[in-house]
Amino acid sequence: MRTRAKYVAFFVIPAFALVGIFVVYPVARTVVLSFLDSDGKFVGLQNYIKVLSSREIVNLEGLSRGFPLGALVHNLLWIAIHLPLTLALGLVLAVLLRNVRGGAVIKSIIFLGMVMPMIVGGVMINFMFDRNLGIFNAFMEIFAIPARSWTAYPDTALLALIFGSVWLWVGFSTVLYSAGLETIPKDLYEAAQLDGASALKIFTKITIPMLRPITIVVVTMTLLWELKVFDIVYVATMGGPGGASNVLALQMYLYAFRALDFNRSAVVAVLLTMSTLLVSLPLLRTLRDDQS
Amino acid sequence: MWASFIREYGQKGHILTLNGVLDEAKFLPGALDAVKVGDKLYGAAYTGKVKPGFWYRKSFFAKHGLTPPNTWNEFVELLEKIKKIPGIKAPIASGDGVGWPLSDVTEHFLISFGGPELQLDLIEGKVRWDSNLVMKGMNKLVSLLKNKYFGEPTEWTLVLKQWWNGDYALYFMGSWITGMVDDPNDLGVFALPGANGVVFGADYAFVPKYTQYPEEAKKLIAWLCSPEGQALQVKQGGHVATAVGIDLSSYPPVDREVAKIIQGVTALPDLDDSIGGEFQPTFWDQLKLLWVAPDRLNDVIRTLQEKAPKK
Repeated sequence: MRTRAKYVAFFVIPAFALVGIFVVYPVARTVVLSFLDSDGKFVGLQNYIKVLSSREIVNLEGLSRGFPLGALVHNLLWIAIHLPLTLALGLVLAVLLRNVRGGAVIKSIIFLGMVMPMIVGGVMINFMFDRNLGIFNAFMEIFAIPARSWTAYPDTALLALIFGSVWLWVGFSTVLYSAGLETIPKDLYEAAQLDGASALKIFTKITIPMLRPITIVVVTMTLLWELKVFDIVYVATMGGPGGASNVLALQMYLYAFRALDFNRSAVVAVLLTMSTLLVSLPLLRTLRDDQS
Repeated sequence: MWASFIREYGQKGHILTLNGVLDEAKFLPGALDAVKVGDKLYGAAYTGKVKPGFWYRKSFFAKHGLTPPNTWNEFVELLEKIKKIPGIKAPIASGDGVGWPLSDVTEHFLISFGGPELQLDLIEGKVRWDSNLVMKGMNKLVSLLKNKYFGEPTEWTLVLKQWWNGDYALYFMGSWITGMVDDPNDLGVFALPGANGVVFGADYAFVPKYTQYPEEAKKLIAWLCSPEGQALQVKQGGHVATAVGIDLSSYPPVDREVAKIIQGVTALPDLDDSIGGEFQPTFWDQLKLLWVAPDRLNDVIRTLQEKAPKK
């Protein structure tokens, strides 16, 4: 028994030590920092009030004037536009490519966006929407819309990044939905067809409900990615122009490494962590239900 | 090394002073200001790069009968003439990327219309961004932006090629541009009329307190900063002397023109490099906004004032 305990300790202690040093301590320290001022004095919720009332995080003037609306609102917009688009596109592509010859190759090509480092993705988005080099302007020419560098203007910078990131992320939902479709029993479809169900009815009454666990995973992972999005924005626009495409993770970086204000940065980090925890709950609950 | 680093670590006692090693009177006015704290000199500017003004191709100007301006009105007339040249995207190329090319040209406007002191006062936080002096320069800049004399911000190396190929006529850039074009002898440069100061990106040397050879290091710095040492360095090309009295014949032809421009003007530290911190990316970012939305000058000024150092 003592030997067994020694073995357990031998394997568990290093893991606990690593988690403690690299996860628990930094998280705890960040939470503590968010309640201190630069001299290490406890200031209660002052940092939170300061951050949440700053124009960098929420900019109400933007409601009448246009972008920037503040990093928090930009993140919410990212979620509102990017999430449904990647979900819908991923599902449609997975269904369309299911029985197409060469569908696997096409899906692999679509998935390349995910394989690519997001830093490279940011550079490519910038090029994509560039006045001189971008394919987007070539497309817009069809509708006689004059060419411009879409990431350079406050009214279009964030939207350009969001739509560009759909291209990068849609491979993820496509591949997951494709895998999910393979798990739906064929006899369900056959029974529905025998009962005379239309294609739309089969899709809405069988395919979508049967893909629910996959949808929860895709939604959760996409939401987490949208909340912590940093690299694309950093490379493509650095949050500009004039903060018009700024996001929370970038603002956290700017507070910490440009303003050297680790307390305000810690506030943003805590808010982001809380949001990701909230978002992860449905996934955790689903996993628990599946296990039980 | 950055001047702000040298100042900071000099004050903390990690860097040896160079008082007595260098004769400050033999430097361009202001060349050592960025590495001085009170009487104490912590660094030496042994040459530098300069941001002299608007670069143009002599062949382009000759082809279209254009001449460098001597007054503000002549400058605006020149821009109007260039705008009418077929195939021109805009008279002045706007370099983008991180944001510094836009801040360089903005600083040139502030110095030209607010005087060299304004640059130093903004660095020190002695003057507000919404003051008349700042607004004078910014309004001049905005008037050009509103008239579309500046092109859309484009990645600075890409727009350099476009400018060289004749899509634009003028490009505000530092003296390092001479090493980035096919034929440096075709380059001409002029400052905004009335500019009495020029941003000088000095190359600084300093002696850490912990070196085993402090005297030898000081001797090397003294030689690098001497007229003899600087003449040798500028001869290699791409450098501008920080010492006064370096013969123009020491320079390669293309650098000679730059050296002429900075004669008799105050050498100034870069505004955003000197302030650093949160101000720098904000300055770059707000200028990107101003470039595409000049009507939002007041928003830009308000944000800059919020982030600027305050005395």
